[in-house]
Amino acid sequence: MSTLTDPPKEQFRLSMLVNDTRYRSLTFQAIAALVLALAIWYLGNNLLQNLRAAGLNISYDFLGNSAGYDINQRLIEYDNQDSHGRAALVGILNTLLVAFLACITATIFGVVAGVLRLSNNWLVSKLMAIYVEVFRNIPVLIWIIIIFTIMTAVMPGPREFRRAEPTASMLFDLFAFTNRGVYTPMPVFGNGFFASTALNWLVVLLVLAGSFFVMRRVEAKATATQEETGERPKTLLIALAVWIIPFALLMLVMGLTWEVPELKGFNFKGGIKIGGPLIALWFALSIYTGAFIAENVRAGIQAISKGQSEAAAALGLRPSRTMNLVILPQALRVIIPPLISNFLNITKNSSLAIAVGYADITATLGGITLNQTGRAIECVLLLMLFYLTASLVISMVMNVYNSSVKLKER
Amino acid sequence: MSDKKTQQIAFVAEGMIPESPPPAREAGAYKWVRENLFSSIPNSILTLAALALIYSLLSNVLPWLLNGVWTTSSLAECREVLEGKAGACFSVLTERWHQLLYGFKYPTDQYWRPNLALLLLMIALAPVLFFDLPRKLLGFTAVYPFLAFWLIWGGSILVPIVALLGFVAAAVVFQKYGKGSFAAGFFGAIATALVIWNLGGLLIPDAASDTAMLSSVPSRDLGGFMLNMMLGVTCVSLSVPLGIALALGRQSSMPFIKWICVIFIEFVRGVPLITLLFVASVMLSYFFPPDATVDFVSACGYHDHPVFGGLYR
Repeated sequence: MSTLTDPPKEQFRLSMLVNDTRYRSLTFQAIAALVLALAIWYLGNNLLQNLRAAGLNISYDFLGNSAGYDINQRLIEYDNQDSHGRAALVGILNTLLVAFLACITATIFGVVAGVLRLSNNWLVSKLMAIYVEVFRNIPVLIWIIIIFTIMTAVMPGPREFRRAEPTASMLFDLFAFTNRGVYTPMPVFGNGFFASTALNWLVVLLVLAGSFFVMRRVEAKATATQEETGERPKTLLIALAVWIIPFALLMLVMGLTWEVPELKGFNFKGGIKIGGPLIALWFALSIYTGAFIAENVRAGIQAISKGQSEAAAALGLRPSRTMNLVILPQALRVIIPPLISNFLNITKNSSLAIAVGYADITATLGGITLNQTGRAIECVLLLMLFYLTASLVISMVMNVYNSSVKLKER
Repeated sequence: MSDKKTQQIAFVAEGMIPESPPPAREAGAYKWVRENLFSSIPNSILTLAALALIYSLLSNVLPWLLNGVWTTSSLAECREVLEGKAGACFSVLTERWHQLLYGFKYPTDQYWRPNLALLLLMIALAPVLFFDLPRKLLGFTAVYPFLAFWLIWGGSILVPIVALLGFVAAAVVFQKYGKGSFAAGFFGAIATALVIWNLGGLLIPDAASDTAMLSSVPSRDLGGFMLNMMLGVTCVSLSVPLGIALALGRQSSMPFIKWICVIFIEFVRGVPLITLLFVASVMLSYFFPPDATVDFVSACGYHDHPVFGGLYR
């Protein structure tokens, strides 16, 4: 007679924490947690002790105090009586400005150089190879300084516009290229809807966005007609009308005039000043990152097998349509992810602005404010918080775009 | 070759025509230029534009570069020599050559030490790069970091020897016990190394660095290209294993380990290097005990830099 018994219940032994794979991961995680907690406790304890010994405390009150320093390149009103917080805001806007401009131009440089590097013209492709290798193998900090130095050395100073026989003159009497920066005419609204310039610009943006959406409808309708009848109605005239007429009317109503920069005293006054540091930083970042993007673009295009373009040619597509309809949509899938990290790099590398005295967030909050107030920990924490947020937002936006171009599996 | 050679038919060739060379425009440089530079009108325009660009670049840069002055002792003298013509003043490079290579304060009579370290670096790197070399050379590669430390910083030779001994003992312990149980080997190795380093620290007399064979050079006296090279080599060699560990940790099935790695990677990738350097230079002193010496803190700054830099992979 046989009796049914359960298999012997395994006793839990201490050695199983190390040798049994079921429990070992728990042991490792517990050790990691312990080490991490100890490290944080040790560092935090030291920090508190050191702060107490130095008579410091963590406080963000300094952001409300008067900053006392000037910032010459700024997007919003600011003077040296304003608070450290506003100086930081000016810095944030400056960082975003140069990052935005550099992202656009770097993409243009990169796409052009990447496509030209694949050209069957030997000279052009070699020239682009040299561009890519030279620019991405020299640190961007050095490029920023080189470009800034060359710009200040080569461009004429404002007084050369003044002499009895001026050695420099303004382009079309509208633009002045000097070693302090570029002065361009500034649009001014004589009778805008609002007193504030920013709100007036918002109206302009809204009108442009309206034109954009109307155009989208027009294009969609044209595509529908094309799919129905096989012939695409001409939309060029409609497009011109939709873009230009509302804009021109708005400009007329708001009384657009241009404020042209003029030489007054030792410098140009009026108009928009794009300072030398901004130009140097913008150009250096875009030409440096452009070299990286060029390689990404080249990789993306080469990832598409040659059969695709040959098949497209066999169907009778012109080279430009082959590029737009066959190669690029597939290449974008390969190009976008590294492009995201290049945009992140531009944003982070813009912190090198301090080398040429461009007042970005690292120079205002992490530079002058930190040195004036001595609030190292608070300033650096805020800096990191800003850059982290910016990076995460950029990668989120680009990931949304990435998922819209990626292969749709049906 | 027809077998009816004798038969003659009008208007038919009797034999093969001998091969003739390709026409002049289909061979040699002419063909290459035509196919690669002037294959179509847009292509020709591109070529001409590229040539114009190259000419304008070279015609501006070459005179300045070739006219450069290398041997004057001051900027004023340099300008005198150039007499207002375009030209670079490279004298600053020749004048400050040693400073650029070794920094301001490295003792002049000790320059052979970093030079020797650089030479030995080539030998240490060789077996890593070329697999045909005898594998025994890898032993030298393993010893090299300690040797280089001793050569560049100088001081008592006991310090790198104790450090090396710690690693060797840890490796031996791991070899012996790591086969049975990975954990025993791993933690045993760490414990052994710590014990040896602490004992060694007690054994090395404080005055050892004064009577050492190579005079001691403090960290803050290092500089120039030498420092670049040191940071670069350390950074590359530390960042690869660290990067692999983090990448593996990110894929781990253990949630806690995975989240530590993810947060660490995203954090370090998301902030600019310069803010991490701020942390190292401004805030590090707050995070360590007040009695830690300046040299300790600056060494930490130096050693964190490559580690942080390494995460930028």
